[in-house]
Amino acid sequence: MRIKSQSIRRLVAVGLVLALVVIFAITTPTFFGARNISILLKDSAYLGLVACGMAFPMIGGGIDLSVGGIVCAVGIISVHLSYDFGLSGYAIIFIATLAGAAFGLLNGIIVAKVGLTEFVATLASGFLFLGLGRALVFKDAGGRAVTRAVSSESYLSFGKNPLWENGWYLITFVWIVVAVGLYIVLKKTKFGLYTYAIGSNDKAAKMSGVDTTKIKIIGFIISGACAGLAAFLVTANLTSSPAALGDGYEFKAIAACVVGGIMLGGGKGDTINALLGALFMTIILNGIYKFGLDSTFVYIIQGLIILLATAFDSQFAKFAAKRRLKEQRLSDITPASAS
Amino acid sequence: MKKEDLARSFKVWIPRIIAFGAIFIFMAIMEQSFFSTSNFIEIIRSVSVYGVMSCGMLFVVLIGGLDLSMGAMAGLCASIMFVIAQNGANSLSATLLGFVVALAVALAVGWLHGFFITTLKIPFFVVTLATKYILYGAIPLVTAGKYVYVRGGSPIDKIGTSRIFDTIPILVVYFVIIALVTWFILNKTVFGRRIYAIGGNPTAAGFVGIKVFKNTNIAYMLCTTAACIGGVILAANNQQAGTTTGNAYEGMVLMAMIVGGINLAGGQGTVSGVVFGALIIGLIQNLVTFMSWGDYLKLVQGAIILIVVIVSVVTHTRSMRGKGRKGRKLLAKVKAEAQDE
Repeated sequence: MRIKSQSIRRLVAVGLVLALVVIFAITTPTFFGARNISILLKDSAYLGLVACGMAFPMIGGGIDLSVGGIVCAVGIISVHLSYDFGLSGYAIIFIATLAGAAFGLLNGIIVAKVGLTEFVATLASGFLFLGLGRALVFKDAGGRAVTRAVSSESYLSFGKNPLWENGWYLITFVWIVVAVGLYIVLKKTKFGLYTYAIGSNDKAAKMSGVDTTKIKIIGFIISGACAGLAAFLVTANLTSSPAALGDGYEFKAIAACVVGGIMLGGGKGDTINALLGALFMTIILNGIYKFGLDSTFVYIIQGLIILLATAFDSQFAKFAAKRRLKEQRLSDITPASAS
Repeated sequence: MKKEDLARSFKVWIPRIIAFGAIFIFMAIMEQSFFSTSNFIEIIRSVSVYGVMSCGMLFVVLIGGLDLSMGAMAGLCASIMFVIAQNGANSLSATLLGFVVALAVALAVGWLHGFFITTLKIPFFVVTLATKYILYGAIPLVTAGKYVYVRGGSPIDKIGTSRIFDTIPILVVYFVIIALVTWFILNKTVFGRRIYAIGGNPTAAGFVGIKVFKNTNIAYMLCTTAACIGGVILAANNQQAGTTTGNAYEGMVLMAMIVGGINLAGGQGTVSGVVFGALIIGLIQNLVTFMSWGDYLKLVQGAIILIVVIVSVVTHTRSMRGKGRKGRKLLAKVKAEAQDE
């Protein structure tokens, strides 16, 4: 039976995660402890949410470098809404998601309507959002940045404590629901199909009558909304919004997507790949701290992961193309010999 | 012919001078101590560092790429040089050895950029973003997590803080030399022509026999070389090197590119544009530092880049569709040509 190349790629991702789990289970005896698992799943959920959103622009053949900025800006906006205006957490979660979606809409309009290249547009808008977040940081009378803790019960109920003792955090469930929901959107709706079409061949999709502008904008909106939701849940867990929040998130999210098997060229992969990639990244980063390595290694290892994963993908794409060609030749020969 | 050239350079330079003058006047009003010698020296200093790095970035942008790792590269090179010089008791030979090693690292990273981008066909922004984090993470390994300082009077100190006629910082000399070299390479050598050709249309450049891979590699190596030089003179001027050296400079360099009218899609851009861009960026940096607007720097960066790029893209598409003054001219020309046939 023919196995799809994409399934092989996903098996590779699963294998990587399993290998990491085995390595850390052997080296650190506390790895399978309920507390460690719950914290691991919580940490991967933040990254996972952002990566699941990022999957849409990436499948569509683009990239969204502004998610770090969106997380920073929405995080501080959420804390402001609670601290200054006393809104309840239930209202803020909607506002945060909408704010993220609005930032995504801005990205989408700049990219799809105006026609800027994805990376220039989102790099610049990322600066813009990050600057907005930094500008909104709480200041004391002397103009110095200070941290303000959220005290609203409903706000903190979204993330401060696990749902039961040593159990999972709410964000883990949110992450799984969002990942599965977006998976269904990708695989079962017209929008999902068109996203793959744009990623595989933008021009062909446009000539076949797909409204590529609309599909691209919606992709960026989903990416922004996921980042906004993640930002709210992060601040609910940390009870405040540090100024460095969101720094480097776009990089981690790209790394997660790439390791998970969403190809940079577009048209390949889905949110389950992003989910696997986020797990991989979190376990490995968690392991760096566990082994007592210097935190500077975090940057080096992240960079190496991206380079190695993309190099692997580029070779894997060659292998997949060769395999397809071979099969095509075989199927060309077989009917002739049968008759 | 000569008249046309003159008209064209007027068209390019008059808006630039107006923009520069506007920011200059704005700053003169906002800052009380703007017209002091120390402030001018401060401006020249930051302009020089940005200018050197922008000249390197120009090569990469001309072939349609971008190097996001420039800031980290600058920091790492400066750290390597400082550490080696310090271990050699700040002697001249140790300083030179340090610079050579730093340059070798820069060239190796530049080659790796080219290899990943051309041979493995990975998008340049992913490659350079990844190396940015690797290099940034490598700085504390080199310096053992501390800042490396140099004392006054050592060779490094002379590189960074000497003055010509006791007033003008020597950094501006490096900037002028690098700008002239860049101008020469781009305008007077075959390699420069090839760079413009690749940026204009890589496929066509390949068809006429230009080795696209090789020249792209060289462009990235030139870029990291400039990052190395920029980082070294920046650190030598500050008399210290460490994790914050050159941190986030790539954003400012990118802004200098865009303000200088260099097309990020590749193929269009001049050294004079880079010099102008560096001047503007130096002024803005000075304003931000003086008014302590550090929190808003990113905001300003993002807004300027977005606005300038959007305006250029919109005007370009409009003129391609035959709208606007330029577009109508283009349309008339096309129509006239069609009638001739």
